[in-house]
Amino acid sequence: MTDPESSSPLRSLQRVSSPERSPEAEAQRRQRVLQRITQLQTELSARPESRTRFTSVARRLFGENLRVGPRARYLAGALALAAALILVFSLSRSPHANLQLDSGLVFVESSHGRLTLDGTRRFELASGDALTTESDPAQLHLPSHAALALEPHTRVYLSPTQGNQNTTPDDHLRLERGLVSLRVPKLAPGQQLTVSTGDALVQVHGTEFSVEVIERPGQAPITRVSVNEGIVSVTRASERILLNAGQSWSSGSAATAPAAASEQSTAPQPAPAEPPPAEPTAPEPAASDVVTANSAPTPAASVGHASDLAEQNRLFLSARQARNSGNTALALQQLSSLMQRYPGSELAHNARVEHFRTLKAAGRLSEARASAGQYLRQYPHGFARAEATRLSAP
Amino acid sequence: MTDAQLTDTALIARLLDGDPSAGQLLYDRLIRIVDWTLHRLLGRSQADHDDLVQSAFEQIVTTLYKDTFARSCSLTSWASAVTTRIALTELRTQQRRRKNFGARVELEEQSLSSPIANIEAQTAARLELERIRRVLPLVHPDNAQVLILHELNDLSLSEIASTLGLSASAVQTRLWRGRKELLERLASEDRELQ
Repeated sequence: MTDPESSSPLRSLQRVSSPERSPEAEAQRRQRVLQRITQLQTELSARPESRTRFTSVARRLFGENLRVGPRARYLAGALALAAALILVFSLSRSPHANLQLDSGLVFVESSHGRLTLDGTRRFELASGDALTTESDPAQLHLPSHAALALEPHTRVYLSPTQGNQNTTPDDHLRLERGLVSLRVPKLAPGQQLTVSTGDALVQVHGTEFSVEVIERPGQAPITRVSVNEGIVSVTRASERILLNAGQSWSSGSAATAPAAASEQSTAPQPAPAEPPPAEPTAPEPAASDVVTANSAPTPAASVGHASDLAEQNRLFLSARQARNSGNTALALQQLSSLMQRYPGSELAHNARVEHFRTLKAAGRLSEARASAGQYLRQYPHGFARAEATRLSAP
Repeated sequence: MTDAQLTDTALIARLLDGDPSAGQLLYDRLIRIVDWTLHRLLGRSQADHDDLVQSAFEQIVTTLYKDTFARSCSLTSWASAVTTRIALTELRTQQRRRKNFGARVELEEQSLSSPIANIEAQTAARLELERIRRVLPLVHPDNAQVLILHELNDLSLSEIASTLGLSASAVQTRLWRGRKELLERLASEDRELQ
């Protein structure tokens, strides 16, 4: 029988040394392994296992040599239950949003740290959490089913709130830096989607548009809004304008936008209902930055043309039909379009009345009040002045 | 505190928090032991070697996330235990391949750290290394792992015990069995050759 203590054949392997590697080969291997480690960090942190997480946390709390025996497991169970109750309690108190990441790479920054997400996955975002991108863009879907595209080096906060009917969450985005593009489906009556920046508030009426915060060294950043489809309203200080498809607007004094059109210029309090938790840090704007549309129809008094009358009728009837079928966004869009394009026409008067009535019916009372105030200023002796006065009264 | 002075616990915490720089620190801290263990046990060609290095790091990171890492040992000891397992699996795979396909075993060029005087002695040393590599996968993997960690990587019995979560007596038993098995296998191979 061989005596195992007598010799150590493995010792001969100790003479083998690692061969020299070229710096290029080592750099290549290092990069390859690091990429894989980063990938694993993302994959594994996205599906944490509660038991192991607990053990890890417990080890950090109670020391490195924690042994998980039966008593410790009971303790673990009790602590986990307590933690779950606390979590449920806190969830019921703070709004969360379920988002869908469609593609790209996005980082969720919260008080608990930074989470990296990629590929296609659902995740939850608490109020105050930031979504950021670095060198890669990302595409997501918001709780309102709006598609959100984040360009590289963008940071945005999402403040979800319940909508007016408790089933349609409003989405309030606060863009801190970078560029976001949105494609917004038809919103439910009363539902809102807004994007705020340091100096502007963009409210959506069912459309596709983008908002960009342009940083300037030594100066306050400016905001640029471009609309591809539909209509959005932009509120800045006490001014609100409507942007149609193909139009853009910039809060900078040297506007670079190719087109923009104004709807209201002096409304005292035309901000949309329940403004999002924006934190304006930029100085108050000096003057209106609205650029008159190059391609938009001139808002002159073009009453009289048969084709114009037909178009006015079409817009008005279309708005009525949309309102009756519950499509508030489209109704408001058609009415706004009518008022912009034919401000001196008789139907513009009716359109304004229809506008505040539609907003009121949709539960958007502060906007309805603003619209009624606008009506009273525009038509002080109009046929709906009593109704508008009642609505605009505080 | 510099990154090099970062404790294993702090490094693991940063890794689990998703800090990208933690991956670099982990690589720099462990690449030597991973590289060295694989070279000694396998003496592999460059391409396969780098694949195995990557596998070792994947397994190390995964075990850290699954919290199966015994934190009472050092990360380096843990890495050498994980890498040893990977190397043993690879040796067994090679063994099966030889059996199934009758692959010819070529004597590899080895870097021997201590100079060996003549070509005959060098060849004998290489043959001995190949012989050990041939026999090692026949030893029970649990016993082989303890044997390698102790005799090749110079880990003390208490270090091995805390790394593998075993009692000191269990480590001693495995070590004794591993040595015995290895010597018996080597003797058996010698008899077959004669």
